Amino acid sequence: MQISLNWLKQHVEGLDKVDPQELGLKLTMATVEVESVENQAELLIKVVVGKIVKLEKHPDADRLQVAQVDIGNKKVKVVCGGSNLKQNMLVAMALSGAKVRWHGEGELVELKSTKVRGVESDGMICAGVEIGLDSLFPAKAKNEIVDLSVLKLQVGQPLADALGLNDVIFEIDNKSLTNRPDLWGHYGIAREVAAIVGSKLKPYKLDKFKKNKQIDLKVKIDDFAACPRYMAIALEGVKISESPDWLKKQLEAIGQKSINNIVDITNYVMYDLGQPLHAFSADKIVDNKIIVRKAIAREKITTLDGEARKLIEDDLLITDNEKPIALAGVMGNQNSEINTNTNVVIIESATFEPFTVRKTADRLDLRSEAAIRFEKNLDPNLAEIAINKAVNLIQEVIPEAKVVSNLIDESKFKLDQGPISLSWEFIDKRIGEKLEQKKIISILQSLGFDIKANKHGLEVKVPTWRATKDVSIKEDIIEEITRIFGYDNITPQMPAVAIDYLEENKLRVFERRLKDVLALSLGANEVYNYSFVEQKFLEKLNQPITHVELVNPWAEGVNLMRQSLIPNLLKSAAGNLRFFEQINLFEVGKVFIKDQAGAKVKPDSKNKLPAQPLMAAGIIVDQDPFFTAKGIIETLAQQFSFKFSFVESTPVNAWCHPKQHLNIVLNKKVVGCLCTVHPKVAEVLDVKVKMAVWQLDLGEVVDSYPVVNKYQELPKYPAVNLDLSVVIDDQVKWKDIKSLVLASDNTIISAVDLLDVFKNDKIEVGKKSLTFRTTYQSDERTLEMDEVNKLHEKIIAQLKKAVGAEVRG
Amino acid sequence: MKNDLEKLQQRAKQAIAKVVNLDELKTVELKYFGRKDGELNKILKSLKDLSATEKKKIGQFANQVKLELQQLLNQQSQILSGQKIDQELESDFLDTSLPGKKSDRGSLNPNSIVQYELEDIFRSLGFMILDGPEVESDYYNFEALNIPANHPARDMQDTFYINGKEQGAKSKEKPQKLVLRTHTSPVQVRAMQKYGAPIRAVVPGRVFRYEALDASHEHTFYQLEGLMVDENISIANLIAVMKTLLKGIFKKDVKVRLRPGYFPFVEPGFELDIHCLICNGKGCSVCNQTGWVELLPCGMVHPNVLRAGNIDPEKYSGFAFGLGLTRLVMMRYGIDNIRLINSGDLRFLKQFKVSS
Repeated sequence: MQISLNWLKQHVEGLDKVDPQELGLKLTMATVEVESVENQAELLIKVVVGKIVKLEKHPDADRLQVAQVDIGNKKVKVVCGGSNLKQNMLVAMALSGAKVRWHGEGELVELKSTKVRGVESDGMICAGVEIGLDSLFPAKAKNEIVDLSVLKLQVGQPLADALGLNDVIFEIDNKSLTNRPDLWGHYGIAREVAAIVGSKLKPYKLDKFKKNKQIDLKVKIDDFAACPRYMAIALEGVKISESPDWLKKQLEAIGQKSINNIVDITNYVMYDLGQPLHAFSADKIVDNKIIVRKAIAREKITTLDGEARKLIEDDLLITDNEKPIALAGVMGNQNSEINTNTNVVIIESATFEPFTVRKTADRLDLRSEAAIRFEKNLDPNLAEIAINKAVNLIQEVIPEAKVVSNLIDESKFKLDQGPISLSWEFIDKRIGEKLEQKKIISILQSLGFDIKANKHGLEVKVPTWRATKDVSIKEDIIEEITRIFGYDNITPQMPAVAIDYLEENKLRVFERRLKDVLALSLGANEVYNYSFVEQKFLEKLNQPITHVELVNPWAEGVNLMRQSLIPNLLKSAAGNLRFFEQINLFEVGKVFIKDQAGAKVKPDSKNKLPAQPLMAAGIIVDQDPFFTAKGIIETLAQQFSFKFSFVESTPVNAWCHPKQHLNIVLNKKVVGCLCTVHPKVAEVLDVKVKMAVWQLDLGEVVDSYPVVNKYQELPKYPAVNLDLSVVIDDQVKWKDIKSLVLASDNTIISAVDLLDVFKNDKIEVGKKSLTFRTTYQSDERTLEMDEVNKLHEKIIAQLKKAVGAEVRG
Repeated sequence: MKNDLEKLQQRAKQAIAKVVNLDELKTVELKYFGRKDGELNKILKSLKDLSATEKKKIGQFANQVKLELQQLLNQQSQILSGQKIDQELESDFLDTSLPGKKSDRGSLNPNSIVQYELEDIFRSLGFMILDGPEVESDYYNFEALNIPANHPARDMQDTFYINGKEQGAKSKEKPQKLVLRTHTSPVQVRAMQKYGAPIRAVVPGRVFRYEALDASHEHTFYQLEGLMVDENISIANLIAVMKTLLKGIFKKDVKVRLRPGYFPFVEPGFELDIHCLICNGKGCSVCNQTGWVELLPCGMVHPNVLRAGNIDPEKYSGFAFGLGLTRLVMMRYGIDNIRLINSGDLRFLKQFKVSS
């Protein structure tokens, strides 16, 4: 929103003494965010009205001309490339020392006398964009310069003065005043400014006017909840024409185009007070009757912008006795628009329920200036002030205009103005600093609050313009006091609190430790994938869809909440294979399980959110990805002392290789799994190399963390290690070999570790060589070599008997 | 006999002196001292034929010779092995410019690195680290946070909605809409309900907004929510704690300013700006020429939010703040495109070696 300093000056005394930049900063610090403070004249310093008295071709350049420009006290010679240069044209002449923006781009450049292709040039004839006048004088063609000829300005006059551009415009971030219905016009901002700079806000000037009943204007509100107040009045003798200069200028200063006197007046009142008005041409209103009602489904209207609109039952309409004439609070209809034939106008000044307006405006993508204001919850009292002001202005601009109806006022509203009581103690405690009571009272009064003070505290009556849900509790009053006092004037004070033990969030601690192990010891790279997963992708993988689903996915088809981290990891791996041969990615994050219950939806409810377990998962691409994945799980098990066991099982997910899949089991519970990626899935991803994935449910394992392992006594007697290489059938599992070895003796075999497995051309097809080390050790005595050898032989014999193992020479 | 020994002594001395490497020295040693065929031993063996006095006399001399030669051998051995090492040092060339061996280190997402750093700061200030659901109920994401029905923040353009109802929705309760949490603030209420007052907690986490993508906006990003509730917590307290926390983040005092900001779950609400660290407040493109960067929305917890958390607003008060974690990460590492953080691109991820 744009706020004009000149406009504010009409409402606040003594603003001439205030530096506009400083005022902008103060507004930011106390009220709303001022995004920029623009002095209209700033780009027009040393820019004067010039008259081209002579025009010649540049001797050395086709597109340039040499102009003699009269600047009042003298003539200057200037080289110019303007496409619309004419003899006797009035132009914006920037003299040496002026700062302009070349072709409207880049930083400001200070002009100096120079030679352009060998010809002296003293200054510049400007285009609109070069001096910030492009909105006032839009260029119609390329390289067009500003043509001031029609304005009949005095040659040599500073351009800012000639155009009356002496205003300062504050650009305010609309988002920063969503909660302030009172700040959507200059008077509201003026009230803040007065409070901030300590000046006096002038009372809003309204004049009484004469009414009569020539026209029997009637208003009926069907739905007071949607329209708490509707005021209307008819004026006759309203000749629609151009607005007077003061009005045009004031609207143009804040970036609004002048349309005609009546529209400009309604707009002016809106930008002054924040109350939108609407003007109907009375001849188009059947029976002079206005009805406010909800739309009928599929009812159609054509709004002022010429668009046909299809309505729904939630939309609120203004109708006459036969047809809709406006979309309430959003935009008028073409069928009742004022036009050159209009003689009688009906002015509407109403209050509409914010949500109704917002929903309609949003649905139709019609965020008009009126809608933006109504959706902020306007004070219904404003409607009365605004309609009075509008009548005053119409009669001022069109002296023949006569009020020809009663001032119609249908309303049903109640405002909660308090009073809010708060004690001095509360104020001091909440601010954390004792402010002077006198200061507190004067701040609140300057903002329009009615104060009754006593030695205990304050009774604060909220002004109507702040009483529409904006200010309703003690804390709101604290805000009013402190923001005007200045937050930065409060002395920071560390809270005095008791020292206490901090409860650990075990899952978070474990998650962090786990990530560290994965990244530091296992060389894995942490990835963050989206929580969304594409349905089509899952379908291509042949994964059943049982996912939590989004109503409004961000991208079409990416409509499911991930139920596992793996599908997106598969994509990450596939994407990275363009640049990397080896991949070791992991992610830790929440997944969403539709038919399992998670946290409560509400404290007193039996209903639950979908379960959202925290998972860790990874994907490996290397020579032997399955065993890399298994090694990761084994290392994690070691690091955190989890007694994991691996159990072969039939996989449930599409990406699992049916044969190369293990469940990870802890305390008889499946807490994760690992597998080679199914070749069909790899094919879908167009991946030609082997991949393996693993996953762990952190919530399931965290209970076993941390484990404190008791110290184990160091062995008293030496161990004997004997290695053995055997050739066996390929199908024989290491797990079985190991149990056979362990079963051969239960006293002195302390460990059986695999050293190597391989196949080569010296080994029969269908067989493999397996080398393992058996550790023999006793905690009671030093072992005799004979005894160990005997056992070793026994193992060989048993392996031969049980699985046909042959010792490799 | 003695003569033999003296001759041997002479020859041996010369031989030892002439030796040029350790192998030769070994040969010399064997020749003279070898157990079986060593010349010295041979002579000593013939001692048995002498008389007792002679034996003693010659024996003593022989020992003297032996010791002296042994010493010479040792000396020579030391010299030669020294020479040998010198030679090896000379000939053993190593191209020290070759790269070091790769160690298999992984990486953490930059967001994790910054998040953990912040968690440590907050733990040092006595804050718990909490967590909460990402699919939230309408109640916790909005209603409990004083965002009533019909509030603009609930509009479709801001929020992701979940299709279908919550678990077990067979009772007569009005079913709750489910959403992807739009902020970490719902955990404020869950935490207050669970732990009561006083409480100090932070919640780092993933949040979702149905927003248009650009270099600095994503539908998925990370926040760090903070909450402190105790008796008599004041605005002055909030300012002091925010300053301390910024000191922790930036490792120096940063100039801040506090101005009004509107968030339904706080009253009053503030925008906390820090002096632009790029231009030191002079004005640059990063701070939009203002010299200030909006960093930390915060405020005094709204009494309705305290009530939702079962905390009596007459007895307790508190403040809350929300740090844009993703924004801090981008500032820290100079990341100019937010999408990289969630991209899974190893070329990006591998740059963030774990430092802490």
